[in-house]
Amino acid sequence: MNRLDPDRLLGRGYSRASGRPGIRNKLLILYTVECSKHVCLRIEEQFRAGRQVDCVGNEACAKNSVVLRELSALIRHPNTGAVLVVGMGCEEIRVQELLVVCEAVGKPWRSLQVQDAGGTESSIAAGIRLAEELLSELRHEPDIDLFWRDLCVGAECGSSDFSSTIAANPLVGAFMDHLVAAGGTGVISEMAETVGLRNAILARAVNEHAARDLALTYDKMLAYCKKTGRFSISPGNYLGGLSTIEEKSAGAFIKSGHGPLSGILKLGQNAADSGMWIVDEFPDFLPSPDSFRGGDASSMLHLAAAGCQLVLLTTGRGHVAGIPLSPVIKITGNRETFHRMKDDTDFDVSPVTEGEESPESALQRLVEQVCATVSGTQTFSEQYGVNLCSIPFSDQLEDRVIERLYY
Amino acid sequence: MSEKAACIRLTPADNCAVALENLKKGRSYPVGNRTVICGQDIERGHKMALVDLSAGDFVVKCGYAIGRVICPIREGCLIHVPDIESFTENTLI
Repeated sequence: MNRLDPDRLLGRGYSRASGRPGIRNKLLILYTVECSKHVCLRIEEQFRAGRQVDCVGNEACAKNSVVLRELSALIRHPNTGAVLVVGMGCEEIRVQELLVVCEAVGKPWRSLQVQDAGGTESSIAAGIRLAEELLSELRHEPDIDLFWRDLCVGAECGSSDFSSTIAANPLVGAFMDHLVAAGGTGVISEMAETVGLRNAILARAVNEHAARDLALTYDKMLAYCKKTGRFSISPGNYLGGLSTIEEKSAGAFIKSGHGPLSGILKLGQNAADSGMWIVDEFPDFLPSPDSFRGGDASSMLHLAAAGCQLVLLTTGRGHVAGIPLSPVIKITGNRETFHRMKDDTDFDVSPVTEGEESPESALQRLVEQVCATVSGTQTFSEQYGVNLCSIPFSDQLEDRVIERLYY
Repeated sequence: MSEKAACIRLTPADNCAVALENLKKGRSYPVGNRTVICGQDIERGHKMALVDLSAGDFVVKCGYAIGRVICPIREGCLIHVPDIESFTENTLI
């Protein structure tokens, strides 16, 4: 395939006071603790048909810098147009802390606390009124042209099998190389799926600074995996023909393409500069075993927190994951899976696996599908409003301890 | 494009091929510019050894070492757990 045309108009988006433009314009409902989650889900439910309202939040009644950074990043997210923060009233993370971020990024906001609003039903009713106000304040028409340089695209793989290595991940990797060449930005997470590839990763570092960050992050990840005995390979992977975590890693890492790696993004850190980035999904403080869930939706939420406006999810055995804010395009190279999981699979690259289509032709199709999604065509995850994630870090840490440990 | 291959070697450095269909014991399959006689039935998606492998050898796929051989695997036979293992998981550091 020829290189992507940097001047191609991809569609129209929503300009923001700072950072990349949105490809969607959503109202984000945030809960600060699991106690206010029910109210948030009921408010979101009320607006399901419009598909313009998403809900996510923090579950544990605990505070640490990672949770605050991720919540802040979701407020800052390009696809977030307005924010409704719903707190309980007595929790660790204060509603006010998040409203400061809303003000800083210049997005309309409202807030309520369940204990002040009169309990469950009163809070739901008040929340629906506030959400309606915010929706009326959202701009309805996109106002800015979008080009490849405006896009930050995440890549994730889930329920991989042999076809992920042969077709789906190489397709995404090729897309990422072209995207970055056209001035865009790519992000992957899942450092835990680079086990065994230390030298291969470091060889692609764009400079010494990136190499140092990549090495430190790799070593921290491996130490954590060994300490907890958790390596990201599952029974389904074995059945699909994958034998070791190294084999799964080799296939997964292809998603990042073959170009230089710009370095590491901490959780909630925005991929401000063009290039190919890796999110470090392991906190630097000594994490509890619960800190790292390793689920695909949680990983994709980290990609959203890095500022990805959309995510490509490759799968071998089939996937149903979706996240708030960022549309997910699900891709499989397994023909049987594409037909079995037709409800959820957006893109079929099995013709490449079966030797019927060239990788270049499949890439051209994917480029067009990405453009359609950017222009507003909804992916299955958007149509269903699938949201399988919350912010997973439950460690309670004093801020000054965090600052010392974080960098 | 040419007729569909039954198995594929992903890079020239690889010492295994990935089955794109169920491979049958006793049949010979073209891989690169040679043929390999399949030593046992191998399911689609699984790996076939392209050379004899001994304990301690590394299995190479996509150009990366993906596992260490624990017990001998003959050319044409299945490469899978428990005959290979991770070389990263069980090291002390």
